[in-house]
Amino acid sequence: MTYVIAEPCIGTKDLSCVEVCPVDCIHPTQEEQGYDDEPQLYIDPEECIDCDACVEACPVDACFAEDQLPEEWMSYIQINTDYYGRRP
Amino acid sequence: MQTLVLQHIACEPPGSYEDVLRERDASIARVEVDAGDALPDWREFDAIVAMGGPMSVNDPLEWLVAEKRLIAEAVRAGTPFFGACLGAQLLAASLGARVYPGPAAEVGILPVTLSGAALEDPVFRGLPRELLTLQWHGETFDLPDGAVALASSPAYPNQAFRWGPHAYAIQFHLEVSPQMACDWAEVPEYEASLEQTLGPGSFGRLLSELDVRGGEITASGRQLFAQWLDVAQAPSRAASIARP
Repeated sequence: MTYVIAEPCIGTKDLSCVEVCPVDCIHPTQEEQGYDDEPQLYIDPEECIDCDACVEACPVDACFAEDQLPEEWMSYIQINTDYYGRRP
Repeated sequence: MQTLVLQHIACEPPGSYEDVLRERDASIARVEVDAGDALPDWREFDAIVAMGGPMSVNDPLEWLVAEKRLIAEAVRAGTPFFGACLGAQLLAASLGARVYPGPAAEVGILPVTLSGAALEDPVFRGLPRELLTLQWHGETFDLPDGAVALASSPAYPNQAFRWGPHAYAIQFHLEVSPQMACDWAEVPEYEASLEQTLGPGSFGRLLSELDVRGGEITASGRQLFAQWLDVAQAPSRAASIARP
């Protein structure tokens, strides 16, 4: 299982999740290339350790455990994965 | 028993905990993570012991990220874990809890109060309710979801917790010999927190106190660690794993 960032992050990119992630698996951060161009932040499914810290930190409830992801946002599993295929 | 010992500075070995490991004929694989030693595959070990260090869990260091990943995977898979000081904070962070600076460094020979749950806990059972410890830290942690609080102090309410049947986090020190304390006083970060908290030239007083009370402290440490090893080595361990 991994965690996924879904639609509420779009246009928000609050970065609270980046601050609390113990393994720095949420990108792009504000200092990274592509931050301004990406509509949202993404969790690296290969690096996530399922700790749940991002869920509590997110002010807009955009972070979910994969098995808790609302049906209408299931596409975000692939959207998060895809970012790590194109990440600069 | 194959034990992985994660160290974060050479002068913070497991001390009296290591004595207990040797008395039990445990095999010890010591990894100086801060010095660049490669992290092994945790699946090769029966238990993990993580000790202290001068860095913060939150420092942007690649090896810290890798270590948190190792701890998260191992503990969630049911590997017994014992973390002291930074090692305790690493367990908290690996389980998603926040680690952050406290109001002021807590340094000195100070008691912690065991919780009601600790009195029934197989690892803390039999220890004094007011447990004398050596404290030497400035950061603290929130309790991870599902953790059982085991000890507190007036300045730092979260001093110890259990997660699952045999992952333990202990903020304070019960393993330190006077010689180890002398080595710690040479570490700039530790010396600074000591002097800020207890005043300039305070190490001599701390050492004198440790000479008098150190035997009591390490006796508690030996009991605590031996009881953790008993839990970690229990034959029913695999069957009893119940994640919170």
